Amino acid sequence: MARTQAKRRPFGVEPFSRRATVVWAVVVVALLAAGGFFMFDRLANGLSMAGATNAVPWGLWVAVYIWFSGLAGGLYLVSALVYLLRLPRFAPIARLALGGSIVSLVVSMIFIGIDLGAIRHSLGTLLFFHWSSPLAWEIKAYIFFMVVAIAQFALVLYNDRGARAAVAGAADGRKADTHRGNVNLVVRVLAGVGVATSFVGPPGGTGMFFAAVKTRGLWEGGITSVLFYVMAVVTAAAFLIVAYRLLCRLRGARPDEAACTGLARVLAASLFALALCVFFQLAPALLSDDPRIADAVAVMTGGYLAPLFWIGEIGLGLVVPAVLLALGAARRSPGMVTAASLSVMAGILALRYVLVVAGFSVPLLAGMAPPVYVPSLGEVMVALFVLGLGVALYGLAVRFLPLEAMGPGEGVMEKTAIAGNAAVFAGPVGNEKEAAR
Amino acid sequence: MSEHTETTSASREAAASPHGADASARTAFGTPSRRAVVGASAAVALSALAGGAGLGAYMAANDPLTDAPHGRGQASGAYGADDVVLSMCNNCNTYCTIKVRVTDAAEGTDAAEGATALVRKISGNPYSPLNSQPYAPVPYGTAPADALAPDGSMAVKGRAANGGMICLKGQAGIQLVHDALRVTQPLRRVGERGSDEWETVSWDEAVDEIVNGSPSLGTPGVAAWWAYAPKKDVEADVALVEAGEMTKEAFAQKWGDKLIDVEHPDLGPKSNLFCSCGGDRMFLIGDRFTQKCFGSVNNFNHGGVCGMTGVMGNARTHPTTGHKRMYADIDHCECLIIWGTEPMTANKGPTWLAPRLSVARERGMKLIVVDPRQGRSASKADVWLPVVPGHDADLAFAMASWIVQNKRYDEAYLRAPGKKAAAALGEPTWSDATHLVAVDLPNRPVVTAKLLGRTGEGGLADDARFVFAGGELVAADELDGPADLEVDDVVDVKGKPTRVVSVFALLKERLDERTIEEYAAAAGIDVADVVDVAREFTSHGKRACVMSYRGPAMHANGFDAVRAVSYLNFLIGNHDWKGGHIAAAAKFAPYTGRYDLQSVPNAHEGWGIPITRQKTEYEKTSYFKQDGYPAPRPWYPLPGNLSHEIVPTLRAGYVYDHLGALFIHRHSLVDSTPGGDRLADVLCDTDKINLLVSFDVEVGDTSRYADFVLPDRTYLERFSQEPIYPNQQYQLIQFGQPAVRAYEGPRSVEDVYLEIMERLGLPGVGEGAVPKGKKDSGQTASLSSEEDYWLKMAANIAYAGEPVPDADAEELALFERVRARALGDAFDLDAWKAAVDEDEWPKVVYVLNRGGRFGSADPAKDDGYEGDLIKTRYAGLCAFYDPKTASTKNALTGKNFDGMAAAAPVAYADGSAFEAPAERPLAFVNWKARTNGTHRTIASPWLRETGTENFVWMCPADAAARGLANGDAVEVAGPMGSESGHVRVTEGIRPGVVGCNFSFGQTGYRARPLVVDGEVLAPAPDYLEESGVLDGDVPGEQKSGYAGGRGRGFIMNELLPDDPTVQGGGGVCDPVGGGSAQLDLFVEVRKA
Repeated sequence: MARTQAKRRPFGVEPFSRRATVVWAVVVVALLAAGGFFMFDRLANGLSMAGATNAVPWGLWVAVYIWFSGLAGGLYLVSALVYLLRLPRFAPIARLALGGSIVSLVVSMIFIGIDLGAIRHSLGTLLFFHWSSPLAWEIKAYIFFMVVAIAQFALVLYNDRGARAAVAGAADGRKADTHRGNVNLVVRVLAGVGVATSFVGPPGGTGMFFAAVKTRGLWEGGITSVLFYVMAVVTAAAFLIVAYRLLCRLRGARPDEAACTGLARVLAASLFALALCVFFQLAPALLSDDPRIADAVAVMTGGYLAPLFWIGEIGLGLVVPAVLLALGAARRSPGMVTAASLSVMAGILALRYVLVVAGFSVPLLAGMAPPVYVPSLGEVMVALFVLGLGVALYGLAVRFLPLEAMGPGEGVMEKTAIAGNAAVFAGPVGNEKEAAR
Repeated sequence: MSEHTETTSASREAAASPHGADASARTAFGTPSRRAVVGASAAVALSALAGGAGLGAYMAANDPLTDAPHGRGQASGAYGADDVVLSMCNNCNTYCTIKVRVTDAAEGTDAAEGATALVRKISGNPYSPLNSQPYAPVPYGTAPADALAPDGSMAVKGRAANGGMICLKGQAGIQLVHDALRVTQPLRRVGERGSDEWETVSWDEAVDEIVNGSPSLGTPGVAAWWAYAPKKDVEADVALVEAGEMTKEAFAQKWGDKLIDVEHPDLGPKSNLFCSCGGDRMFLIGDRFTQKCFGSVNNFNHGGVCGMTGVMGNARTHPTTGHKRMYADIDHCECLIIWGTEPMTANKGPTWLAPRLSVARERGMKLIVVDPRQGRSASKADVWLPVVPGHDADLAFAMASWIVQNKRYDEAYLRAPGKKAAAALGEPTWSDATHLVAVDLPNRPVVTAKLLGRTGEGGLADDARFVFAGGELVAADELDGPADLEVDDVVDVKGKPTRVVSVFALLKERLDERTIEEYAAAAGIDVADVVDVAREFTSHGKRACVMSYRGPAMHANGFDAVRAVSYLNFLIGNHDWKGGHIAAAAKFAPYTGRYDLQSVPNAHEGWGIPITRQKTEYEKTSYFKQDGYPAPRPWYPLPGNLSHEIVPTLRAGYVYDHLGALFIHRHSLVDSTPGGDRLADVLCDTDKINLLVSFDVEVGDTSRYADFVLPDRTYLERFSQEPIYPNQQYQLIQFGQPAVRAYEGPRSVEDVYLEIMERLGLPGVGEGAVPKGKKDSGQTASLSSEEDYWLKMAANIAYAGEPVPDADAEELALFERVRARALGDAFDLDAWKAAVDEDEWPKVVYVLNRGGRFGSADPAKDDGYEGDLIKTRYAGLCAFYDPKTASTKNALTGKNFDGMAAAAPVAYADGSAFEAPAERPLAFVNWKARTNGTHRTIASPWLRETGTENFVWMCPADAAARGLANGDAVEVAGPMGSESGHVRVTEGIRPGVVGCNFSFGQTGYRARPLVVDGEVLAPAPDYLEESGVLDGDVPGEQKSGYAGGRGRGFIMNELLPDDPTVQGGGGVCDPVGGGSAQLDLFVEVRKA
């Protein structure tokens, strides 16, 4: 009995309700089943099933990949508000952000993996290096970033062990305080290193990868890196609002007001910055009329990508969430903020899709037909399959890792649930050991 | 579950307000020890320092911009001299120098399927400038081990770059040599000709039945009818008959067994009933075996369906040497006009010309392309002039008119009448602009010493020409100053006052027949564009040039068109100048030197009238006496190699009513001659062609009709040498040699000829067949095998001029090692060595180890030039006017041909108009595909992947008018029937003109099933169809990259019209140049 309990409660995490678990499983299975055949086709027969061509080699999968890698980078940056800056307001969502970052990074890797013609060759990017290859730099920054995030997460979990001692006797307490302080110092240093890496790894490095493509006028230039950085924060803030509220709902708990307000402010501020980035990316093109970039912008604003640009990127990505956030703030309506977040996530996907595809829409040789890309059915279904994997991974992570907890790593003396009245944990650290005994 | 919700109040509090007081938060994060803080700071600082220093040191030690090896694994793919045979490509007539990488075949005879080794890769020969442009090749003296050593780039680039460039057709050679569908044993037909049913026979049986007759087929052996009579003896008796000293009966009695027709002794001996058609090795199989051993004048290469009219146009405007081609010195040209040719794709050839054109464009050379279609070259041009097909002469005359009217020609050059005057100007060539033509005399001759009756006067030769200088009649060659350019005067010719006009005045008169506007309108080009191009062309001194080939030539007015285009070069006098017209291509003489490969002791020298009536003046034959004008079919006094005349002539039964034997190798009449499969009536007729033998690597479209198909070796399995055209300034000769033996059965054509000749007892084979050493030295050498011939040629090459050094011991060992590995038991070192003298062998090896012989070809050393002149020069007369042409007559009309080019419309043989009928308004042109230059390359799936079929190009306006969209199935309706294809809608072709490339639509080459020994052999697979991919039909949409079948597309030459004004049909031809007018065709294109 005790063993079973321990097994069911790793790190003391309580199982979710049966209904929630079933819904999660059904969603996962449905997505995997829907895309299964197409994924098999992709792996067995290669890329010919994709709508991508020589002229537009990157499509839906790359757009989704950069969406998830941006999410990973953004989540890490939000987590750094606690682990680096130690802003207590964000403590409830710190672990969710850090853990989510690692899972998102894995999901993004799967998406870029399926986009590779010869997946087995990807190992070469790790084994070999070249100065002038942006890819060589980026892939290494990715790996380094992932190692830092995982180490940091492990240390946070490790620090939970000291939580019980901290509330014990004075002598033990001082020792425990020092121990806790030392571990948190390392976490803080790692967070600093991680934030520094975010400029060259996800999300900034991904932006630089695009910005360095000299032949693609739309991407080339510094604003692309900034755009990627800001998009990442926007996506992460929106994702956390939705995920945090969803988890609280599943646990039947009341979300932490201060944390929610903080996230909403981060979302609002980063959205404003995003609007500026989009404007500064497009405005010079309209002024200069340089065909390398103006033609791409024309495809976005008036060409076949226009619906996606105006409705998706500008509408769902900027206008709708701005209105909803304002209304949400005025009426103190969490539902509005959640709706704004969902809109933003869709809008950012549209933005990334439009950016990738429009970048290719100017032929490299003047006079050749403008390339057009429409994702194939197979491409969409493969994306759904990987999305299913993603939902599975997020679900497993939140079920088996204490992402909903706070503890010494987040500046809380004792490991505790992130929402006050939630029935999440079996109790303070140590209980599980006792139970096992 | 509720029991687990129990938490301490403290923690609940903390959880409820984690953002409580700052102090508590600080405590909550704990207080690090001093050591920890110091340690962490030190760790961060040290990491930053170490990282920075490490990166700095790494950057200092490694140039970040140098690509370091980063390939994967240990396999470098590198290969060196031991894996390489340097040879010669045959997949187009550029005959590139190639580097063939061989690899071991599977072990065991069965597993290897008879292959001694496998060809794994083909690239360019690093010794040869033909494949290294724009850089100098490896110096000739470099040891092969060094020249062929891997350059280490494999680990960086994933590909080795130590070979020269080669085009995609060249690389595809692998698939031709190792084609699993090749014929490997002699085949004898079963049933009628063309029934596609065969049985295998042994080589001995096949050769025996060819020589002695086939009991099963009923075909006569060559030995049964072959007979030879020396010309001298026959002519002596003819003279006796004409003098009445010998009766016709006595003559017939004496020569009846030897001559084809005693009524027409000038037709020659029965040996002329042996006819040989070949696509290569014709200096051996044609000039030596057929002409001098079989004693037959009937040996032809494919020239007649290729560049023959152009060759004649050039040869008659360059009479000093009969120079055949119009090429430019691209490396220094400032303004190049590419006229009706596609050097980026073809024309001697893409590997040699394309990179140099690109470099020239980069340098700023102006490029103008005249072509109804925008090919690769036109797409890179400053100006594209889409001339109306067949109106090239109009365009040339429009330009020439403007140049003459505006005096933009090089007057000093044109006024130099001969070598002496030209030399005084520093000009290497001179023109006939000042020479005089006696315009009112029969044949409009040039005024010469003979005409004036002044031969011998001051040492004047018969043909010494005369000019006016300062109003005085003087010999052109004696003048060292300018002569009068515009002369219309009267001189005394043998006592009679005779009007003489200078050639330049005749040219002006000719140009003035129409206005520039009229010429430009006929050519379909705006006058303003004509003027712009003419101005540009005359704005670069000698560094401007027109290069031209089949576009203007392959029309029924092609001879004049090519001459007219030539005039543009003459007007600026650009011959032999750097950046001007090039006539170089110095070789290392292959046929003479150590061995005289052209002479045959006790030869049967062929004589008589060829079946094509080529190089023969009708008026001098017995047939003229018999028929007079009009002759049933044209006669061609000037050109040769008119292979397309064979079948229509036999159909008409004119002069020749049959051939005893027709041997064909590496040439497909059906795929190249107007009419295509319409030739079948004659090819199937055993009364017209008693014996038809085809040497082929597969059963091709023409081989289908043969009695015997004898499997030839591919070029990668045998020796080869073909001359490259004179478009390069360096001295070189390429030499092909066997790199592997892919199958055990096939034999080289020449080897089989030798055996047949031996069995027939003909001269020129066996001991003493080749004269050796200096002429009349009396020494001889043997010619019993193919090695005997080719290695003697290698010896000639090695000893030409300054002999090459001896191969050292290392090179000799390398040579033997490579051949033993690559050729296995097909390599007999002793036999090879025995082909030449012992002291010659090391030099022969030196040449073979380098794939030929190459003079220094370093642009940095100005190799190939002397100052502002090209080193190897034409140095002769540039003739606007040709008295030889003017003296010959059209056998149908009896009228003289014109000594001066005219802008006449295309016409049938009798001069009647050849115009577009209302129901077929579209002009149809054809061109060579980049991917499929000949019928032979269809066997390569790689090439078929890049082009599935020959799409019909059509401009959008014409397509819209017919409701056609890109990729639509269409019917191309021509005068003789229609073909099915798919349309490619493109702006790259002139409105009113459509066209396609050739060499598609084959039925042979296993495009269809074949029955051999009762077994049905399936056709080559159509990978597109097999995989269910349907995009092969839509131009530009082949995303799948699969190869289609070998029979896709259509044989475009089947669309070509027959000339209705001659007996026996056959395609329309130029009356002077004799070449097939394959660009004169009108069609309609309809949705199928």
